[in-house]
Amino acid sequence: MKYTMILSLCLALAGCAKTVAVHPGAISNLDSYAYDLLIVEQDSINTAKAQYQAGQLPASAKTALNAAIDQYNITEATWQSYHATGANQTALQSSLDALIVAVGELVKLLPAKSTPKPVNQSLEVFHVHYAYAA
Amino acid sequence: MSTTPTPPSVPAAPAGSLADTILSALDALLTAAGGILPFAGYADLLVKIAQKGVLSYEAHTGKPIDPTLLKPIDKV
Repeated sequence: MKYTMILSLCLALAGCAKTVAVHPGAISNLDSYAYDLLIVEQDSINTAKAQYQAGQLPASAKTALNAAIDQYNITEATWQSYHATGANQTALQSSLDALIVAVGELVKLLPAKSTPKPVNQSLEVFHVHYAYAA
Repeated sequence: MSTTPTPPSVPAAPAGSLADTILSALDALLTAAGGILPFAGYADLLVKIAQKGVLSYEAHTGKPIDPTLLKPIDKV
């Protein structure tokens, strides 16, 4: 229900006209989707990391941030292997799911005092928006 | 806190692009929520993180996959 509402919001606001294309050089939809997701999460994590190191995030964010980094590194390595060989598709899918959860936990932790729902939703919208048809 | 949080500025994105559309939506969401957010600082920060991700995606949309763009991240 939650994701349906978020997706509806995304469709209404973004116009829903743009289809996410498969990147040239991708070996499959999963390959392209994983690449997109990793690009976004890499940038999001690096941004959050920079903010943490600048003292702009609460100290309690460290555990979740490191957990997200760990899962990102696992997923990145799994994707590199999958992209190169086509092997370990199931492992990549599981790793992507875990990465989304880990980054979601990080995001949930940050605004714990204020609960800025629209911001959380906007990040979740990205995950829904980039979902692929297997 | 009695002051109304100020929405963050949205970085420029190509007009009509996916990033432009989503960033505009984010800005509208934050504006709508501005009056009920007691901690505007975190909201501002999170929106900027989200914006960075969207801009990053938009920047490579349609381009061939480049595995060198993905690198391991050191923990804090």
